Amino acid sequence: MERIRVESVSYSYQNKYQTVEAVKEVTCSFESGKMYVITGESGSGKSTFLSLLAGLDCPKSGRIVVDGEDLSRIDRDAYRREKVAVIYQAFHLFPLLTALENVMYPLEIQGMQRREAKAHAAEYLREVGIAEEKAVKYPRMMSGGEQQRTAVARAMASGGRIVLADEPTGNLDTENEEKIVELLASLAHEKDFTVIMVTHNRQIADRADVRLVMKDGRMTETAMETSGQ
Amino acid sequence: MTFYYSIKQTIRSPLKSILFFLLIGICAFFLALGGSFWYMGNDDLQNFDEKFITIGTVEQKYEGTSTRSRWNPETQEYEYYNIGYYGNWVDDDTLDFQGADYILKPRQRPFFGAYIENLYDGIGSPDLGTVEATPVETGAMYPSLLMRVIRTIDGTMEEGELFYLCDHEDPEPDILEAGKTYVMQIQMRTFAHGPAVKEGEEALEYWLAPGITSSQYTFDKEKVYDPVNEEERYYDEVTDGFYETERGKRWLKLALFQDLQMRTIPVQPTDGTCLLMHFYNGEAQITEGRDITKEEYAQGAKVCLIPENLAMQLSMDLGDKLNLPLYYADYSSSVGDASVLGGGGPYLYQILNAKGEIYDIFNEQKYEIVGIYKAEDKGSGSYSAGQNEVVIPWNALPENCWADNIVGVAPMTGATTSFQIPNGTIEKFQEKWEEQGIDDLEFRFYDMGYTQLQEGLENRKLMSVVFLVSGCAMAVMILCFFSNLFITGQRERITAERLMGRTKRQCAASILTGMLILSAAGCIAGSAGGWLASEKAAENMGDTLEFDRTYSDNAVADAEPAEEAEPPGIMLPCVTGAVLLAASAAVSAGYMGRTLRKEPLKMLGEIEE
Repeated sequence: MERIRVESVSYSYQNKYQTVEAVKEVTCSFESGKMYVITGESGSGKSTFLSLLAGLDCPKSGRIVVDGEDLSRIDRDAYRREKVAVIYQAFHLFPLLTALENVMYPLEIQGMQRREAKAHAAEYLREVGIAEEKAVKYPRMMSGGEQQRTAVARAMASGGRIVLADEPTGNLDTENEEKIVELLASLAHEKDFTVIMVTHNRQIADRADVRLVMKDGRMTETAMETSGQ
Repeated sequence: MTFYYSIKQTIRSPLKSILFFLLIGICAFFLALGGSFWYMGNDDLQNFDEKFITIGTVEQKYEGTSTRSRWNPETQEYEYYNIGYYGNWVDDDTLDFQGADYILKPRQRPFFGAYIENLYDGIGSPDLGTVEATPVETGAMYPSLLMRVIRTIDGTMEEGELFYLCDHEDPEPDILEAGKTYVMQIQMRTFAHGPAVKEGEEALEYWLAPGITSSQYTFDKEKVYDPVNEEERYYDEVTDGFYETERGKRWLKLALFQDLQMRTIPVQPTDGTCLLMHFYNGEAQITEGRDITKEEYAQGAKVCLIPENLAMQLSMDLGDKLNLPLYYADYSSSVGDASVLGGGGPYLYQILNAKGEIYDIFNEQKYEIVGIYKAEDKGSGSYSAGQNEVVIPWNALPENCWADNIVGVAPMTGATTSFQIPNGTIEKFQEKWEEQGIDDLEFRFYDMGYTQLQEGLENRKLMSVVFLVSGCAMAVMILCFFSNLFITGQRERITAERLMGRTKRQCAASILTGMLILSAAGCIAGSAGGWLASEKAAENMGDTLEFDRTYSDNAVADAEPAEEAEPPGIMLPCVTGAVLLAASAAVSAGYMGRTLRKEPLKMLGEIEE
């Protein structure tokens, strides 16, 4: 089932020196239950494209339709709160909250009572392999892999069915990288999430259901089915 | 939930939080203390301003000295002596110059003589009298010439009584012939001397007094011409029809001399009781009733202050009305000089005007006694209260109604000319006066020590400004620094929140709640500390505050309640604390707004950079 449809989306921004056309006329679509990987060279526009999907800004032209709704016409804060979760290479966890509290946070945003949120958060953490004794630690006391797994747990808890991951394994060793990719794949395949991941890593790209390649802001290869499925 | 996580994250960075709490508390402390000091300084100054009075006195300076001579009958030579003389007399109108900010304008005050019929019921004094007399033997009036009284016009001498007469001032004293009758006013002066005095006799001699001359002046301080004054002869031979002549008529009018002398009291018109130095410096104090009010002075109410002894003598009390028939005005001396406390007077030695008439009453009104005062002689001389001195409002009399009854003039002196200016303006007044370029006058100022006190209070206010400014400066720096730490330094947290779909408002609430709670706690603690410190400081200041008591013991006594520095209460620390908290909210909101203006995408980019 199609979750996201991207129609001729272009995006540019002004840096200190010039206007950068980061995304050019990209058209593609994303379905639920699949893990997508976007690859490309640095500066090819893949992270910017992911940010547009996350509703962090609006395309300059074209449109992004999520579950039949044009992203530019809906409340993007609500969109991020209810439909999408983003995982970054730098984790972006709350440094002064424990792993458990980091996962409870989105649950409580959704209105869940603290005690219930705690139980659910503990469950999510268990699912990503964070043991109970680790759950009470602050991010700075955890390894990179554990932090990223916490970030995945928080994404799971966010309530959205779309997970966008920007180089989620960039800071991780091979073992942890494998675990994270496994987690994201299971989200797509077992929980019917739409997982869209940006990565340089070819091995990870090979694990994707669909691999997309960006070059100079354009999607040069799309809907290329991989053997990962 | 926002509150919960915000607090949780705040207390999980204890060092930063405690530091912020302490520093904002110190700022609040300084602000509350500074504010309290400022308030107390202003309040005290206001209190003292109401209690303290600044007056100035004006005295014309001598222009130089001149040599004069007087006859010494013992050495039969003139003696020469130096005496100071004035240049042109400066009028009190000169003091009405631009920039002079008077509360009560300077006026050269005369005192008035009021005839009080029931003041004295004695028979008079033997020291002074007007008599017809004849010499026992013909002789010159130096040395002492024995005379016999033929008739008494004024005084207590009896017919046939002998007395010695002497003239010490004329190098060629007149000869009085035995068998002739002379009329003269005589005044007891010293011991008789010369061959007429029997050996071992200790008799007193009389000198001639100028009773038939006049000392009348115009309002412009010019002497009114009187031909009798030109003759400089203070006796006359009584011949048939003499009392029909001008001089003869004058002698008969002196029959009232002692009556006027003994029944005259001095009346002091003024624009304010404080302008009279004996009241200002506490030598005279109201013991019953009240002072004449500013309004009564301004409106010229018919009210008066009288001394205790006069009230007793006249059997009068508060509320009674004292009739004051005023018949002369004297500018030549102060009441204290003219009517010495504990003595008598004022003594008017020339009761006739230039026309040879006894001065008419120029004003007669009844004055309600509103206050009874007690005066002490503390050796202030001219500045002392006068015996039986009654104080009335200047404006109670029609303007210059005494112009035809002026018996003496003199330049302005400190005891007759004074004014009131606002407290703390002495220097300003002096600067403005110096601009006038007149150096014939000398000013003296009395402020009960207000200037020293003001300096102390100004220093305290300066200290409070230092506290306030340092508190404000610290507050701004601390708020900027910690806003940077709490807000700009938490871009990652803000980004995470924004990525999770938190709105800007929710995000701001999440970030700011903890900071503002810390800020509020710091403000409350610091302000409370500042308040307690200011209370303590107020106690200490009350214990140690001192000021000059030279000029007024009574005013100091009145001012004592104001010595206790009154702290402003809890309100001011509350206000300073609230202002600091508001500033804290404003600065942090500014930082927050600036941070949230960036879209999450840009913030992510900055974090990754």
